[in-house]
Amino acid sequence: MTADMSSSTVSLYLDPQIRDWVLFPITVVMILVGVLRHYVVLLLQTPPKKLPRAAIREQRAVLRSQVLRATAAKSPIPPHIYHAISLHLDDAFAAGKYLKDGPLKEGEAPPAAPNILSDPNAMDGMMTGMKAQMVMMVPQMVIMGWINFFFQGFVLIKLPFPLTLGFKSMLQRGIETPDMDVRWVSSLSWYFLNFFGLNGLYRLILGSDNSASQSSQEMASPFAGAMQQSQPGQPMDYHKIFSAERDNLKFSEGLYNWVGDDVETRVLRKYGKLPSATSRTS
Amino acid sequence: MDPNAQDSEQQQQLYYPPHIVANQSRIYSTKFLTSCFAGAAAGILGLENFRGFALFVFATLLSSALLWSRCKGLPKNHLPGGWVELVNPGQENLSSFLLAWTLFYGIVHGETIQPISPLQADGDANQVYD
Repeated sequence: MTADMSSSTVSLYLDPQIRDWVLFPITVVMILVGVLRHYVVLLLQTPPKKLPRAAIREQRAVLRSQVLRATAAKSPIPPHIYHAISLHLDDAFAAGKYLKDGPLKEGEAPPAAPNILSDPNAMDGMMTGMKAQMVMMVPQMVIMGWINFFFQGFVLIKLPFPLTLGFKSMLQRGIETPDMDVRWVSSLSWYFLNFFGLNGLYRLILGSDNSASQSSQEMASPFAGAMQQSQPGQPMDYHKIFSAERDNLKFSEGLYNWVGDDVETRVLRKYGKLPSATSRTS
Repeated sequence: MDPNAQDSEQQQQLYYPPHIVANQSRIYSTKFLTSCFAGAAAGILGLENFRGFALFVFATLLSSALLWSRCKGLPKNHLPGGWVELVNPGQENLSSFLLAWTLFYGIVHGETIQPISPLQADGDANQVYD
């Protein structure tokens, strides 16, 4: 407690030069580096390779079936059409009609799933993600080194809110004063404030899907970007997917419910033309 | 199937994703600007400690009240998260607020000498650390 009291009586006079030549440059450099990073990532991105028609048809068939059953519980599609589409897809999946390499011949075993690492297309996507990660990491290291090299060993700014003593070693690194209030912080803390606070600004000036800000899901896994990149070319075993899709379609048949079922009764009841006492449980 | 779960699923079906994304990004930039201006105001006014955070909370509530009236009182129609999503400033905007607050506090009040009498300092210390 005595240490706390003595520390809050200390009033430091900071040189305005520090503000002009340290505070502003760090902020400006960080904003500009973020913008630069965004455009470097844009340049590094290779447009996704064009898929052959058969491969696209294969993917779209799965997509169609997924869309159909996603809404099955309250489907906007009338029963006869729903069942027709469902049956058609089921037959096509069973016959392997939409498979990229055509239906299986008699007695032929389905091909083994291709290895991700041996497929050059997938490797490409992975590399793009890794490159983007490098573009994220390198400038951060460089700026941190720059700040540590030039702006270490003095107090930069006073935080307007108190912090616990646990932050002292981190926020006041290079300033060997055991009694100083934790609110006086060094330039590295200003860097971290910028690092976390500028994401919103990047989103505002570069759009929401920019590469400058480190959004949480990207931070979570370094391969998240790579996965997204390689999604179109990712090798998948469509034999298995199709057979799983058939099961799902059958399951959705049971769930199916048309949104327009006895719509006339509901409309009449809504406008009071039918007594609501006769409401049936649907 | 649990009727509530089914209801929410059906509710989910009614949202058109591109519209939701557009709404969310607009609300995000509103929140970002709110927190930046709140931070600048707090810094220029020289608010310290919990008063600054109180200003942030006030600004967030004010902007979400305005957004709520823009939604005609039914945020659930525009955002799947409902009013929680409308009010929640998000962690990023809190950091933006801290950044703007610190920056303007540093610029405006950073290098003024504040002579503090021991009595006052005592009071301040108690206020800060109690």
